[in-house]
Amino acid sequence: MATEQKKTTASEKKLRVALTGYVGFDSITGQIEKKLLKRGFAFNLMVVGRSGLGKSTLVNTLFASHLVDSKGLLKTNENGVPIQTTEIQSVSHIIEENGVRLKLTITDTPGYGDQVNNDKCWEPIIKYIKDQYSGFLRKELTPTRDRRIADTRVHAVLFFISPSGHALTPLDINVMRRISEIANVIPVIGKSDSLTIEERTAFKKRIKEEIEYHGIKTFPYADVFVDEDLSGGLGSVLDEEERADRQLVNAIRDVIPFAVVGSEKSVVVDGKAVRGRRTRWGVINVENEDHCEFIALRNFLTRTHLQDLIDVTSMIHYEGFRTKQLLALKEASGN
Amino acid sequence: MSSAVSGEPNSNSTNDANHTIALIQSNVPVQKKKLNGTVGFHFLPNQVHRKSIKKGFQFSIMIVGESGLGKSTLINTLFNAPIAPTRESPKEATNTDSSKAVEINSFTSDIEENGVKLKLTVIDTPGFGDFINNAEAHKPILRSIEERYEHYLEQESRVARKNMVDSRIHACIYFIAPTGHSLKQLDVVFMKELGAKVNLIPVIAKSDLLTDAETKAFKERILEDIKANHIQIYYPAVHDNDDPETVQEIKEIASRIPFAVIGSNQTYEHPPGSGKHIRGRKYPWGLIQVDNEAHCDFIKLRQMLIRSHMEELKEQTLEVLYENHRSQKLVEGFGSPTKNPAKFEEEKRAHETKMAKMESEMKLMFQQKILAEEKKLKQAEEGMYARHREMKNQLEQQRLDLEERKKRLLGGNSASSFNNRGGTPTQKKVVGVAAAGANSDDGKIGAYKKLYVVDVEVDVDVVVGVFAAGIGVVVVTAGVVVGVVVPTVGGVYTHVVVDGVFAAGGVVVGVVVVTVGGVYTHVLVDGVFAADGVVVANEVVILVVVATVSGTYIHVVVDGVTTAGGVVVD
Repeated sequence: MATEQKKTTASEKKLRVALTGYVGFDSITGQIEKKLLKRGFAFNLMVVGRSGLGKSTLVNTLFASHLVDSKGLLKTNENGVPIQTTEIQSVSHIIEENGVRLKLTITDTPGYGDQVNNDKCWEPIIKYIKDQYSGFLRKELTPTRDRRIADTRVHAVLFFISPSGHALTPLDINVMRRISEIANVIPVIGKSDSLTIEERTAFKKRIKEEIEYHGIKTFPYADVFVDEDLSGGLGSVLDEEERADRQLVNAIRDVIPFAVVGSEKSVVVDGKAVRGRRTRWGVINVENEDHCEFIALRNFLTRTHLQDLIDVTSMIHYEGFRTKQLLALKEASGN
Repeated sequence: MSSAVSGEPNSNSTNDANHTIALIQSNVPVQKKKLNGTVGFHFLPNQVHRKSIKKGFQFSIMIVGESGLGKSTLINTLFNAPIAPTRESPKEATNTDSSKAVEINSFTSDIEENGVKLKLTVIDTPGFGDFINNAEAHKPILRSIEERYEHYLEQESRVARKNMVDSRIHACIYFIAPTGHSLKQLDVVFMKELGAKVNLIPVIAKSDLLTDAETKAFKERILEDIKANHIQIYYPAVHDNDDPETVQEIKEIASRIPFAVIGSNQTYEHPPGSGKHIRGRKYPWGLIQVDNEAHCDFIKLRQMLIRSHMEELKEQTLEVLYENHRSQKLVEGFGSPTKNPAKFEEEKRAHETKMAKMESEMKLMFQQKILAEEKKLKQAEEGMYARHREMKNQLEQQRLDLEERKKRLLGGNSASSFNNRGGTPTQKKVVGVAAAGANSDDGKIGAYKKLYVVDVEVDVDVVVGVFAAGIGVVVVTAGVVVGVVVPTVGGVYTHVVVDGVFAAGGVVVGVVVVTVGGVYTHVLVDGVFAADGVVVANEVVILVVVATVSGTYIHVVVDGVTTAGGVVVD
């Protein structure tokens, strides 16, 4: 669609006009910001991975607050019955930082990959993601619809890989591939303090090879740029920014999968209290970039690409789902 | 009762040996004796030691766990030798669905230390827990263990047992992923199945992932899970005669189960600059040492597995686990446990039908034989009856003749008969004795003259003896009276059976009479007449024993009275 627009705008003669005086439409950003601040943001994050990989701890560390309880293996559902299939549990929190309110929804998938027979354990996950899309689509299609439809679509899926040091398991490959077709998947190596630096590098290389071999598309995508220049390439300033963006994306893609360590407890390092893990042979500082890639992940997720994630979900994944659904509906009604 | 103490005091070892022997043979009264001097059997352990060293030792370990938990690295670390190949360079990214089942790979290496040779077999199980569906993961492993027991059992039952190959697994190390929560379902399923069949040693792999507190909580939780699911794992046992040091050591080892281990074969200098090299893993935040007991339980695992309890693990496998398996198998008495129970039922049924068929066949044969036997006996009976009738006729004939003679005699001179009796007995060979009718001249005994030998009438001059008989059947062989069989006579006695007659040179040599009514056994002739008694019934001489020896007769005993000379044989 973006390319189409570009073509039409190219056919129209657009003139770059220089301003002779100050107009003041540069404050539009400020106006938007104020509106956004009033509205607040919503971000839906899903964590997928076997028990014991530190998913809940990482989420708590990422958002520096106790959002999810680490329940452990052999968890039970509300009735106290041990979980036999993958379940979907969502909790929402509203966190605030510098006047910016964020409604954060964390979706956990207990029971995934924990049974002896894990066949089709991914189906509840896929179903949940698609359900959110179809819910949104339905709300969109109703004649009288809300002004602002509450967005419950999953914006990012953190996929946790076990730090075995060898390769991806068949289950991992299978599930990652299926989810990456309908949502943004960010692969993460959980509890990566079990790998030395050399092992980590080798492991990551292997994972990247496997991901490419199986055609799994992980976020950020190398070929998709939502912030296309819609105005038709006005000046080199934007091109430079675009270039910087692309560079950043490539840099991120090099780091993927993120090797992270999570911790809610603080340890004292060099007189400072930081979040980390204390063992007899040393102290792991979660915020130390030499120790693990937690900082990189946090920056990527919250500081640079949060909006990107939401946009890609809405514009690419959701649109793809919508197209398929509407075509199917048309065929169904046409027959 | 112990003998008096004298001489030198005894060493502890002999007392202990006595004590042990007393324990072993508890049903034999053992006397504890003190030695008066040194004997020298305290060198027995040395001899055993020498022999074992010569023979060399053998040990088999199986390692089970998901891939990437450091199994191969741990084995290499334990034995300080590259025994199991580690996957250091990852394979090419391939279609991971290529292998569908758990494989069983076995590596054997010979390692030597201080002159002691050890043949170490490591059995790896790649693919365990790596598939999407792991429900069948434990089955190949269980089957492998049982197959090895079967193999050994079969070898043990062979006739030639010299070269037995022992492939039984002495210990199975199970690697638990360091999740920090609890045991996974797959863990529970596997450990339950295999704990009863093999010495199961659970270890927490890659334990450098957990802090101290997490490790402690994890271990507790694991032990709880193990107890709740009734899983059998190996605990080093304390023996009665261990010294307190050993007991303490063993308790310490047992308290660290399940062992939290790490493995590494890379050495680093630590402390830096000191020149000392230790095995460990180097992280940006520190260096973890494999051989440091404060860092992990590797030392304890090695101690239990190799230094103190290797022999025990072997013993436990051989004596307890293998024997259990063996008794189970032999009680069942059927083939390998891998046979389908349905197939097993089929076989049983086939076997039963076969048995039933054989039974019916045998019954048939038996019946046939009985019929045949009956027929034969019937025929014999018929023959007997025929002969009986014949005999009867003959005797009738005889009777008539005798009647005639009687009439003639009564008519004729009675003196002549007496003269005959008193005179010199004519020499005529007694061929046999024939029973005559009760009617005789003057009612005297022996007044018959006829001898019926198989329907052949033979004249005899002298009555050989008197016996009451109805009809006599003379058994003749080759013209010689072999015996006399006297059947029933009306009411007096049943019959007399002449058991055997000695025939020598065509002449009746002797008569063996077997009595009925049991007075005596037999009579031997040929010069010696030995008669134990006479068969009497109703004061009637039933049987007369006539002894004939080459025509010469000794005497006849009739009713306890020897009448000699009266009967002339020849």
